[in-house]
Amino acid sequence: MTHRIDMTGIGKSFFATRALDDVDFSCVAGEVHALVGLNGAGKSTLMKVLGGAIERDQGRIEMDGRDVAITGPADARAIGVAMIHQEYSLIDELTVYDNIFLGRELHRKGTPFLNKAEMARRVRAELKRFGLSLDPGRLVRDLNSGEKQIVEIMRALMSEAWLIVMDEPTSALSEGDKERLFHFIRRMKSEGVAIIYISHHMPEIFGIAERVTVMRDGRIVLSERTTDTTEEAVISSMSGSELDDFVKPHKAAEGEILLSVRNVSKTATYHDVSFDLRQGEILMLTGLRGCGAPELAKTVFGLDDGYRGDIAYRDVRLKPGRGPAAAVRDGMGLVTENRDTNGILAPLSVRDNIALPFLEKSLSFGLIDNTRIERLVDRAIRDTSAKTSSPSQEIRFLSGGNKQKICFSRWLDRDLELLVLLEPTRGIDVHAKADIYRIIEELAERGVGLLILSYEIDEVVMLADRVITFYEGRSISEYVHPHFDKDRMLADIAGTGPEQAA
Amino acid sequence: MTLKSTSALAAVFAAAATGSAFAGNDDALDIVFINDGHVAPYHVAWLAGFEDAIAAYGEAFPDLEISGRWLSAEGSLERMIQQAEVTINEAPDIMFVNAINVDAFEPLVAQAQDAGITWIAVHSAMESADYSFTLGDITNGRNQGMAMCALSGGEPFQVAIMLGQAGNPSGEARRQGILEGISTCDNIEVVAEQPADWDTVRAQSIAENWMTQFPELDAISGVTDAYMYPSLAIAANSGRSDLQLYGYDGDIPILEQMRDGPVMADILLSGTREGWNFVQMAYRLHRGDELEKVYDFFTPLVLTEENHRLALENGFPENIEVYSVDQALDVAANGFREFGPDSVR
Amino acid sequence: METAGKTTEQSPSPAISALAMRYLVLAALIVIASLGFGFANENFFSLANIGILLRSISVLFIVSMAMTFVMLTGGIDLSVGSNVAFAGGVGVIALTATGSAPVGFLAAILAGMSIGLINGIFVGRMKLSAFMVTLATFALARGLALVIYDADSINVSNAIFLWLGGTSWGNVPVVIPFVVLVFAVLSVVLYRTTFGRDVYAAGANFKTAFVLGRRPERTLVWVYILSGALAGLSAIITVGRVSSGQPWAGLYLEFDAITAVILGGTSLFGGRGRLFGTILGVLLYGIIINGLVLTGTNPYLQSLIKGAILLSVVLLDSWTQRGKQR
Repeated sequence: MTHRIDMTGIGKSFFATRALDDVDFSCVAGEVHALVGLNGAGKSTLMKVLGGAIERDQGRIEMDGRDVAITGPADARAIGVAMIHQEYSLIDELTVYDNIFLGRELHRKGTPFLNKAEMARRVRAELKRFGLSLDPGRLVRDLNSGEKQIVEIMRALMSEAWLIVMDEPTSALSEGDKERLFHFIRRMKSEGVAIIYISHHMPEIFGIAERVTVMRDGRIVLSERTTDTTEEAVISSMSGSELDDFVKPHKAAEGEILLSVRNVSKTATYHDVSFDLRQGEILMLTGLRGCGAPELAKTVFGLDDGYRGDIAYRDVRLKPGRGPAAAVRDGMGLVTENRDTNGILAPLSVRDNIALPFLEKSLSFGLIDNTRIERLVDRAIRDTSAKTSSPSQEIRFLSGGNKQKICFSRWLDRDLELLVLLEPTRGIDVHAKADIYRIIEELAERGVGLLILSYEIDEVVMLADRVITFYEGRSISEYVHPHFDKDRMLADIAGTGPEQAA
Repeated sequence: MTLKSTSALAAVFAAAATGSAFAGNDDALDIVFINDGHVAPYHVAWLAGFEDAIAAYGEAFPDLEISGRWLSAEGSLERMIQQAEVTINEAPDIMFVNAINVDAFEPLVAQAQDAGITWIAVHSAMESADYSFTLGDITNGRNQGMAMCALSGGEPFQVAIMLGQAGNPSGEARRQGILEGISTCDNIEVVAEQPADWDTVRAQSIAENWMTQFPELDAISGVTDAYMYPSLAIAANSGRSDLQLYGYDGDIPILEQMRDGPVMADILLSGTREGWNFVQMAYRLHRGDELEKVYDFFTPLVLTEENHRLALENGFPENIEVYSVDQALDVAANGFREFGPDSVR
Repeated sequence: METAGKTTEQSPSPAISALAMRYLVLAALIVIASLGFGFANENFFSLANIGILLRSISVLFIVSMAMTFVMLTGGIDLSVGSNVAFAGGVGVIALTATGSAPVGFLAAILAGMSIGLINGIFVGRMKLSAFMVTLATFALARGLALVIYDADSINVSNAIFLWLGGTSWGNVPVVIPFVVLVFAVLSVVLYRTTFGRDVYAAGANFKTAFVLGRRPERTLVWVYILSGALAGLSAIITVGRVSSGQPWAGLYLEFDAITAVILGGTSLFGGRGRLFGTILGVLLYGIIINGLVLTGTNPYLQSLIKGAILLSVVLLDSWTQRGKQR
């Protein structure tokens, strides 16, 4: 039979804030229902209500027309609802099948010994049913994030889940893994699985979802079949206003050469890469995950020292192993790809997070001049339009986009000459993205050189002055604005470009 | 939450209100005993004896408002100094202080005497103190060592000695005495000396090591009976019924092991007795008795009658006072008979 | 991702921060405890007793402030108590050998710093667990102290050496204004120097601090050296207080300091906390110890009461934290 979940009149308040206001939301087996909205619109809250992580104040949840009581995560699991989060809950040191059967292991009949062969066989069979190939005996530690996600979903499916909630599932995936995920989702649909798909990516939504629901300020503002609406309509209902198309004006790169990379290699990472970066230029590196480009960018910043070849910065050859402290002193900055691990200082205030690289410049008589810091922090918050109740607020309470803006704001100093960015818009909403793009443009106009790694081809095409594609550690080809050819770039990074074929 | 802590505090104050008496009676005697610890079996008996004696004297002499309390520094010198300072500020009549290190207390002794407090140094004698209550640790240790000589049978004999905490004067004195006693005969070889920090658990692992390290070991000597408990258990478990133990303290359970167990000799201190003796001494001082500046606690050697006879045959000096096990048990269990109110009437 | 709807965008932190809340609770407990003890024994509020109380916790003040620095980096320094004994021994021996108090002071502080340097290199440079490393130096420094003292105490009569820990101006021990001075200096270091901010950064997120070019590995080395230097300073005060060098000085000091720092609201995981909280923590701890002695509370109960107070403050904390999150 075909399952369905109907949530009606759901309401939830936090203190004085109405997080959910009379929300109706349904999901039917065999369909993908996309849920979109800016950060803070209430989508996560709605999903937490469904998953039992928080309790609703009002409203009903029905499964197949009968009321169900969801008061905790166990209730949700019991009726077949599974949440797939961005942070995977897998145990690295166990194999794929160990993880999938965790807590309900199969035993050899009448013995306490695990029947590993049978567990592996069942996992292999299930994977095959969904058109996937993955060795069940591999350790989760050795999997890439796309494969981990598959294991996470398989675990849900094999414990009788029929409704899968996916939160930004493609944010950490390479192009190839994305394709595999979409394929997987289509197979799940045909096997009668229902999927709630939270995402900001319009092409993905219109590619795989049957329905799309948009939330804003805790309410449903649009709910349509994807065939009956358009990307523009969805975007404008998200923000309540039409988003201007971001059109990049043409600009000739004519600044001095700031960074010169010559024949740089690192074993099993990147090989014989050379390029220049001029002042005021936006140079974007792109490829698939594992293409070596992020390691190369980190090397430039001094985070990686086991390389051969020459890197010259402002005509001075950089010494390997000099470390990030020297890079910062020389006017370089870095925004890492993983905000929460090595981007923010979670327990500290927004002020302390911003001010850290500026401390030496704010000394008077050897002591920190707090008025100068205050001025600097105010300007940084204003320039990045980061939303925070006060500079004293702890940064961990900010949304992903605002955290990212704070990470940027550390470098908006006039001494900055080279900024290295790794996946600058990973996991943030469209509005924050637009702000980040604006900041990048402004920096370039000021003459800062930008070396950016991005896996999102649309972002690359939109933002770059120049693009270098990477495949398995080698730079494939270079494109200069406005002569961008998206299809050729995609072919380059997939290893099927004309140069590679030759 | 705050409620919880307040009620905890309230309990403290309630305890305080009953525990401390600062009444302005004409004839009052307030005694404070600051000890270095309060959890070892000897200390528990000691402090309990002190408390019982305070109660007994209070009952026996209704005209005298007698009060007493004890504090434990838990092995920390700094804590003991703080406790002494607070106590001096309270100005009791008599302070017994079992100083972890006597040198550190010289300034406080002067301060206490300025405040009119009688300072009694416990175990380690102090020149500046009004009185010193000493154990004769060297003599006691020597008696233990000489008993070992007399009971070792004249054959080559191996002994391992378990010491106190490094630097502790009382432990050092006992060690010195034991070694002196052993040196009166020439068949005993000291194969190991190891501090166990007055700690039963540490003593256990040391004794276990000795069992494997010295298969020919004939005896374990300890500077406290706290070491005898694990030694007894290990001797029994390893089937070494011939292993001899030489104790020090007169803990009742150890005395009971002497009748037919491996404990050959013990020194009858007995914490209970010592606690009672403190109060007796304080009472006598209050009454105006003249006491020796260095007051020696009477601490006889304990041997079974049979072993005593054997020892005398082997040349053990006759002038050393020896208690039989029954005598020792009687005295240890009934400290009040020796030092109770009736002893001073 | 967003956590709680709109609140994340606006103002998720309640009107009063967790730390401010903690300080109010501590202040209230200090007042309640003082009033209670004062009620039980009128001597509690005497100038003499307040002098005794403050003097008895002067070393704890200094060591706990150092521990605050260490714990702000997410570390711990179990070696401080042993280091007080070791540094005191080196200082006293240098004093006896040369007869010069300044040489003795210098020797004590350098000795303390050298144990700190060992901690710092292993924790900061070699990235070993602070707990493991300082547990080792905890034993090592005590062993060194016993060796150099030959397990026996050494009497000190040099008036200059004893001045800091032993002298009083009337009822005010000299060491009290000195502790205030140390507090002022350390506050400036923590809040107004780049080193201080780096201490927070290293504890808040070591990797981020590294990427931002803050050299957190170097910060850690200096934090442990600072802790060692303050242990050396505490050793000088301790020698003055007991007019002798003691191989068993500073016993349990590390545990008292960790207790006071945790009471004062500094996070065990680093990055969060202030010196002021530690001061309140030490005061509360000191008042309770002093009051329990003064009221003659059964020593078997004392540990229980200390544990109960620590547990209730920690519970209160997790309770307010939970209230904050949603």
